[in-house]
Amino acid sequence: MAHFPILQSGVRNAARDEASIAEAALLARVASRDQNAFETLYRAYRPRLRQFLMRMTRQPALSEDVLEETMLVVWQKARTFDNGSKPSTWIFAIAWRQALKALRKQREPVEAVDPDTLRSNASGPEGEMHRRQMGERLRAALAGLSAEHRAVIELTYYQGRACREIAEIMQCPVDTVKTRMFYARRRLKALLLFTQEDLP
Amino acid sequence: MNGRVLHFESPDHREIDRLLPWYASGAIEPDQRDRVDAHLAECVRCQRELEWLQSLPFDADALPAETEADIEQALQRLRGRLDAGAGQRVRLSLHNAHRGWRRAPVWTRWALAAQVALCCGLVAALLTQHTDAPYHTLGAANPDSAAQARLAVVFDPSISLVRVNALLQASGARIVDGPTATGAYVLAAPRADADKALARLRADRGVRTVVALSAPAGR
Repeated sequence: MAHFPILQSGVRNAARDEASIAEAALLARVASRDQNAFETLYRAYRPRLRQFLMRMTRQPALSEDVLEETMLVVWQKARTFDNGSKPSTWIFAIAWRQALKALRKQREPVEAVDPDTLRSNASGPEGEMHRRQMGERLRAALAGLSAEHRAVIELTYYQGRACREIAEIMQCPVDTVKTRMFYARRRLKALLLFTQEDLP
Repeated sequence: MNGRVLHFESPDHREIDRLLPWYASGAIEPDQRDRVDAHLAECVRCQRELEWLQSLPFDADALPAETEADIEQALQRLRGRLDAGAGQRVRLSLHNAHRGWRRAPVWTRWALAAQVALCCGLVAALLTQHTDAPYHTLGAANPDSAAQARLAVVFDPSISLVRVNALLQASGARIVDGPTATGAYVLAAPRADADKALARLRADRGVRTVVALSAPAGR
């Protein structure tokens, strides 16, 4: 059975179209300095951006700062949104650029994971506890991926984005997205296998 | 012989393998899905890879939801920056303009001053001219855009052009922009009849979605 949050919520294409149009309408109002519209947009996007940026930065304080910067850019640049892409793709592209800028400032190590972190979460009883621990192991393993690889995984599995949309957000060719996903999967599999071997 | 094991993968297998994550998440084009389906029927390696992808407990790794108080606190912080940002931008623009003027060569300053004087002269000449009442043909667009409400609409793909024309005439709206990336058209309708047009479009089966783009009155 698949465990994809987006799939389980049963989001249909028609519903997505409707959401995109409503969001484009909100952005048009934000462009004319309507603060109520901005706050509606902020509340709609905060959970998704928080999840995405937390996965990217792995630091709550930094992800909060980047989220704030992202929405500030949305407020300032809303009039430049030209319906050439979906509003959500436009906003996530801003978030991606802001996160990269913040990570570059910090010179984040690209491939760092503490093996002890993985092992410490790897034991426990069965059932719900086991599933939660699997989630913990997955979180720890994802932390071992580079920012680009984490972003591709996050946008695919948690945000339900198609390959072409991810390429638009990350401003790279579609083939680059596929290649990043290929190596992300390989590394994720190795890291999860590593913890599996330590299970009692 | 150096003892290395070489793996030969068909280009098709390689391409399909790279599509599997989006096949598993459901965000894949229909033609790509058909190709993956056909390949999966005969490739055991891809079947196993798909099983592994589907076994990952992504739903157990989502962040816990925030409280309303957390969100309000974050929003409050941002509100302060929105107001500060506007004032700061005006100050910065004035500062940059002043700095640019001081740094410009003398001849550039004289040229700019002459242009400004010429513009002022032209404006003064226009204002003193006798002006006739504006003439509009019946078919001309209403110059007062405030009198027009804007609606975004997505038609059902099966709707015919004849039906779209009839619908637009019945609702008193006309297409002014589109289609956008999401297939939406922007319609303009007299503001006084906007609610009626919105209701008329919403009630029609040939319209998948319609929303008002203009801010509600009084906001």
